[in-house]
Amino acid sequence: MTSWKDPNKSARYMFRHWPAWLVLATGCALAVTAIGAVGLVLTTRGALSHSARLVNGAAPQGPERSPHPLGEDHALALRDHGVPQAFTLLFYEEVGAPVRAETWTYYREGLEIDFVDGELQRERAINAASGEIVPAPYRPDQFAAFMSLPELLASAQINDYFVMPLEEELVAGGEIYYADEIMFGMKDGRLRYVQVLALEAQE
Amino acid sequence: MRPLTSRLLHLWLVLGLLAGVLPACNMPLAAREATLDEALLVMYAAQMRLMPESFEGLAAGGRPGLAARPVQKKSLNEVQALLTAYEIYYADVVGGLEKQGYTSDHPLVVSVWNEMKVKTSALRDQRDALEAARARWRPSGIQRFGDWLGRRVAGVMNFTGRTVQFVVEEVPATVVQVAPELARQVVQEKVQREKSKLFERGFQILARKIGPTPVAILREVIIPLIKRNQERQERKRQATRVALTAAAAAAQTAAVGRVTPEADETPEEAATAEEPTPEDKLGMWTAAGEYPGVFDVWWNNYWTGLPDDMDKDCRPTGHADVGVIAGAESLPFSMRFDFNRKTVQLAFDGMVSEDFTYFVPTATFAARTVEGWVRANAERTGWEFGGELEVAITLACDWRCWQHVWVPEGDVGFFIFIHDEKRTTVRVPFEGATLQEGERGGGFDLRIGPEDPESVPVTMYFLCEACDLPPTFPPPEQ
Repeated sequence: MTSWKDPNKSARYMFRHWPAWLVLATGCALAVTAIGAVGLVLTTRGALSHSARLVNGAAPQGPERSPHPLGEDHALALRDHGVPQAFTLLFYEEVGAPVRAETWTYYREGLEIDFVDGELQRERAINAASGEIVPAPYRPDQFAAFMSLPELLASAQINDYFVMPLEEELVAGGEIYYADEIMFGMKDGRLRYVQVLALEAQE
Repeated sequence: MRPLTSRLLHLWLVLGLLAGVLPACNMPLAAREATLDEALLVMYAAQMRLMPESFEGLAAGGRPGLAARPVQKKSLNEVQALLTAYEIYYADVVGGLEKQGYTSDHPLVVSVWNEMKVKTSALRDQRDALEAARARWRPSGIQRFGDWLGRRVAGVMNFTGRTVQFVVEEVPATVVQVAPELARQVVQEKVQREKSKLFERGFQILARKIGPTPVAILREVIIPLIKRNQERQERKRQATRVALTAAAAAAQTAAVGRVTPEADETPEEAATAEEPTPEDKLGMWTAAGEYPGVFDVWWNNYWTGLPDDMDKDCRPTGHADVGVIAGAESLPFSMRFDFNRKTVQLAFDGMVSEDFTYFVPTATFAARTVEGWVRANAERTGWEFGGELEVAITLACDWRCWQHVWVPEGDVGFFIFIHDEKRTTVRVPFEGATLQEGERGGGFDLRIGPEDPESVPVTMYFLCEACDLPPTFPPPEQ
């Protein structure tokens, strides 16, 4: 009689002669262990990823670059008014085509300019500032539609940030980030919103 | 290998394959269109979380730490902000159709209303789901474990060179207070070294975007984006139908005769197809600053139902009326002249207060132009301009009353103040003229408010005479 415990038999021989119940039991045990491990990792990861956290020393790689080319209307605004003291960018798609909506704010001049896909839409007056405005260390052309977090960090030279995930019922896969004079939002790891905020010097 | 063993091994292989393939089958779901609504919701969320006043407190029974979560005010639900934008947008569309002569039962109007019902209903459902999720949120076991672990490791972990600190607080403060405060601190990193602060007017603009008076920003920024997005989506939906009926339409056009260019023009194109004027090349000019003048916010019949009984006497006296006025001697504002479009835009906001003996009013206001025009005067020596403002006014007032205390010696009462606060949005006309005598620079007169301010319930009044224009401000072309 051949026994699977016989030390003289090869492993291949023994495997071939394992009883079915043992294969089934081993498979079940492995599956349960794997599912449990994956579940634990996913649950822990999910719990941690749904928590606000501060990240320091992100050390973005790559040279500062200009990922978004500016259009003629942008150039005219830069020529007439300079780099905006604050700006807001929204990235989305219309009929499958990417859209870049921008609002450039000049507090000293009391002016806001709206662009869509680089074309001037309107200019409007806002309350002018009387105090000194500290220039923001960012330009609109540093941000491109749907760029990833590492790309954004490298382009804007951001090392430290604070991230807050959004509820699934609000924007599934959404996260908002805060850094020096800037806040931005991503969905599924793609940039959807940027807002650069002006600072006012205090006496 | 035994047949049964072989089948079981194959079964495990198939299960393993399915476990890998099924998630991959779901991948295309992530590649759906990135919508404007999502981008706006992300924007609203980021802005609201930067403002501490957006939050009410920690979730019931919550403790500060990883498992804690701030509770946002229901009135500041992000989806509600988007819903408001869509309601205004659809009201604008229907209003425009009515102005063009379409009746409320016209199929076009009915179609817009039906579309609005579907859209706003979906947003209301999302808003309610979000509120419900926030109300029932409780930390899970793993989050509580993470909270405990976070406290043990002081909340700091290293990941490939980065220091990641989960929001676990050792100080007796809640995350609800800390998370927005952390966001503000991070955004204002320069505060410590440059003594700067987040530009207050930037905050005011944020507040207008999502606060009680979002109408102006919605109309100027968000609504045009929604309108453009809706139009392009509608054109996409119609494209198939247009393609299918193109042949028939071409045949019909051939039968009727060639369509004239005028017939092809939309009303908007027709309106903008005016002859160019000499002013067109002047472009845009801004006059901005703090201008001296007489500035008042009026609220007639502000006080109604004042207490007046044997114990508390709040009757108006000869020193005060039931109307309330708060004033200032100057007003900071911007005037934006667009000589191409022949429009002018005024924008200002701020606060005024008084400290009278019998009442102490404080008015906050934000004004934006809903309609503005500019034209050369008859002699072409300067400009005339005017239009209408939409002004959101909040007026808080303390009113002095006499609290009677009856003692045998007589009435020995004392003064008390009762408080009330009211909000409204009003339309206010403005008109003015530049004083240039055909030269660059000069000054301007500006009057904001109705002819008789006391004839309307609530209004504002500003008179600025011979105020300065920028030295290079152009006169009309001769």
